[in-house]
Amino acid sequence: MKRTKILICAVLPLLVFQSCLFEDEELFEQSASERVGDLASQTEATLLSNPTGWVMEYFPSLSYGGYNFVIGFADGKATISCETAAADYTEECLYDVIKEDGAVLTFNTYCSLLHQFHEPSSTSVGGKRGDYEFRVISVSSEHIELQGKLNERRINMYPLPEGHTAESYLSAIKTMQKSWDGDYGIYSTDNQRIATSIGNRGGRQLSVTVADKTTSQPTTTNYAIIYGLDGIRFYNQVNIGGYYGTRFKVIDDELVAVDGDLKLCHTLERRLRYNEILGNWTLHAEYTTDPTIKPMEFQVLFEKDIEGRLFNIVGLGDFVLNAQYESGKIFINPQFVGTYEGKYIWLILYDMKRGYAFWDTSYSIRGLYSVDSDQEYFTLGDCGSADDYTLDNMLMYAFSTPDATSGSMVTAFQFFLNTYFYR
Amino acid sequence: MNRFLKIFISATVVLMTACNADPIENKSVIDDPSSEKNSFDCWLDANYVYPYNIEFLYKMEDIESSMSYTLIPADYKKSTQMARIVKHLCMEVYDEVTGSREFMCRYFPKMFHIIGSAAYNNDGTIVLGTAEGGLKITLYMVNSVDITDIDMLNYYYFHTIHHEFAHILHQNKPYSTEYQDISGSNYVQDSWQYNVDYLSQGFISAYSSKEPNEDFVEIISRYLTNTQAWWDSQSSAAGADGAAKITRKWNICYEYMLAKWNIDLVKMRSIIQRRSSELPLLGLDNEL
Repeated sequence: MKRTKILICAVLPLLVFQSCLFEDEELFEQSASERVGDLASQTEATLLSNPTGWVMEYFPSLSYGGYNFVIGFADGKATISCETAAADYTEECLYDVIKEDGAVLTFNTYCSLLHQFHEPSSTSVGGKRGDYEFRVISVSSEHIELQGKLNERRINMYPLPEGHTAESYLSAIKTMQKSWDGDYGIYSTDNQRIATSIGNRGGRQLSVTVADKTTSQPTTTNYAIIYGLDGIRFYNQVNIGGYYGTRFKVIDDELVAVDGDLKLCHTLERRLRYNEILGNWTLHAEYTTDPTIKPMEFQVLFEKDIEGRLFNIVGLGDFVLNAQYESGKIFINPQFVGTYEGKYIWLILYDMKRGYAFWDTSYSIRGLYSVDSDQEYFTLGDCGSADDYTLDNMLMYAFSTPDATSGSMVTAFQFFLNTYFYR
Repeated sequence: MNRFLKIFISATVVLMTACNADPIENKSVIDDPSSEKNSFDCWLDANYVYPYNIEFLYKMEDIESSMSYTLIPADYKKSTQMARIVKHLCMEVYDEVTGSREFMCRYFPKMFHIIGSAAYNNDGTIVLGTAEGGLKITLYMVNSVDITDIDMLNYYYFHTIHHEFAHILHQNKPYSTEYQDISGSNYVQDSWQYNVDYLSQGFISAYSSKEPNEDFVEIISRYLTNTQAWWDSQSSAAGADGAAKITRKWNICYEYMLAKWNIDLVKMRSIIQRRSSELPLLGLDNEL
C-alpha cells in the first residue's frame, strides 16, 4: 500500500507538469466561424466584382450532361440565363452566401432555369439530381469552384469572357452544340481508331463503345460533357482504350484534347441503311449475373416490317419482337410478345442496378452499330429515355392480364442481360 | 487527515488550475447570419414578426425542411401573395373571431415555411403540408397555387392549416372522450387511404378514419373550409347512420371550440367565407 502511495505521489506531479508542458498550437489565426465568415464575404465580394456576370458550368445527374448558365449578381438578386432556353431569356431569383459548415452559395427562391434540374415530379421524386445550394471550395477573381451540397457535383464558375454578353455567349454555345451534337469516331492523336461514340441529350452525353481487345466484346460507357466557346469538356478526365483527355478544342474540324492524346471526329464508319440490317444475326445475352453460367445465343432474323422504319426480330421461340430502325441505330420498346401457359408475356426494360422494370411503351433500349475485326455488332444500351434510370437490359415477364400493370405481374420469364447482336 | 489524501487533493487542485490561463474571447464565434432585408422582408416583419412573433420563411432553408424529400424553393412573387393570403384568410380570421391577436400569439405555431414543390413520396402520393411539434407549419406546392381559386387554396393550404392548428388546440385542452366512442372500433389506422366507404361509416374524409384525433380535427378543418352546401351533400351521401355519426361529432367539436376557446365555428366559417370573397381586393398582383 505504501509503495502504491509513493508511486502515485511521484507520478501525479509529472502529470501536472505534462498538462502544461505544451501550449496548444493554433493552426489558424482565426476561429473556424471567422474563417467561414471571411470566405462568405470574399465570395460575395467576388461575385459582385464582376458586373457582366459569371459563366456557371453546371452538371446535374451525369446522365443529363452539362449545361451553361450565365448569372449576374446584384442587390441580392441573381439574373439567370441558360442554354436550355432562348439566349435572350432571363429570370431573377434571390441568392445569398450563407455560413454553414463552410460558405454556401444558395439560390433560395425559385428560378425555373436553375431549379429545373432539382425539381421533383411524381415520376422522378429526386428530380434530375441537380443542386441549387453549392459549397464554396475556392474563390478567386478568375475562378470559383463549387460543389453541389446535396449531389456533390463539381461546378465551376468563370467570369463571362470579355466582349460577350449573356446572350452572345449562350448563342455561341448553342452554335457549338449544334455543330458538334452527333456521333463521333474517337481516335488517338496519332490517328489510331479507338471507339465509336453516340451523342445523347443534345450531345451532352456521349455513349462510347469500345471493343475489348482480347474478347472483341463491345462495352458501352456514358460520359457527361459540356460545350464551351471553343470545344467541349468532359466532367472527368476520360480514359478510352488507354488514351486520355478532358478538354477538347476544335482544331481543323476535329475536337482535339488539349490535355491528353485523344481526338473526336465526325467521320464515323458508314451507317447501315435499313435494308442492310435485315438478315441473319446472332443474339448474345446473359440470363444471369453469375459469370460461371454460359451466356445464351439465339440465331435470329431481322425481318422487314415497314420499310425504313420497323423490322421484326424472329427466332426467339414463338415470340417475335418488333424493333425500330432510325439513322443506323435500332430501338426496342416494351411490348407484348405472346402468351405462354395462359400468361401474357411482355418484353420489358430493366434497370438492373436499381431493380426497376419499365413496361410503358414510350421507353426504349437502343442498339448501336460498330465493327470490329470484320464482325458487326449492335450493342443494346440505355438511351436516356427514362430520366434517372438506366434501361440497359431486357426482361421477358409474365402478366396475368393482356395489359402490363403492377397488379398483374406474375413472374420473370427470361432475362436478357448485356445483350448484343453480331454477325 | 490522511497525509496521502492531502497530497492527492493538493495535486488535483494544481492539476485543475494548471490550464486556466487561456483568455476568454470577448467576441462570439457565432456570426450574425442576417443579410440585408428587402421590401418583402420588411413587410413580413411588420405583419408577422412584430404583431404575432411568427416567422414567415420563404427563402428555402434545407435545415428547416424535410431532408427526406427533394424540394425546390418557392417563387418570390408567389411567396408575397401567399403571405398576404395566409394573413387575410387565417391569422386575421382567428383575430376577428376571438377579438384580439392574443390567441394567435399564444397558440399558433411560430413559423410558416413555404416550399415551391410538392413533397413526393415513392408510392406516388404527395405531402401538402405538415406541422411539427406545434412549432412550424410547412406548406408545399406554392409555385403551383392559383390565387384566384379559393377551392384550391382551401384544399391545399387552409384545410391543412386549420387541421394542424386544431391538433395544437386539443393537445392543450382535451376534448370529450365521448367523441371516441362514436366510431369506436371503426378506425382503420394506416389503411385509411383505401377506405372508400368513409362517409357511410360516419367519417367526413378518408383520413378521418385513421384515428380519433385525426377524425376530430378533420371535422373542424373540413367544416371551416367548405360551404354549407358541400357539408349537406356529404351528410346526404353518408346515409342516415353515417350522417347521424357525423352530426354527433360536429356537435361535440362545436361545443368544444365554444366552451374551451370561445370560438364559434359557425361564425368563424362565415368570416372565412366573407374574407374569401375579399381576396380580389387585396391587390395580390402588386409588389410589396
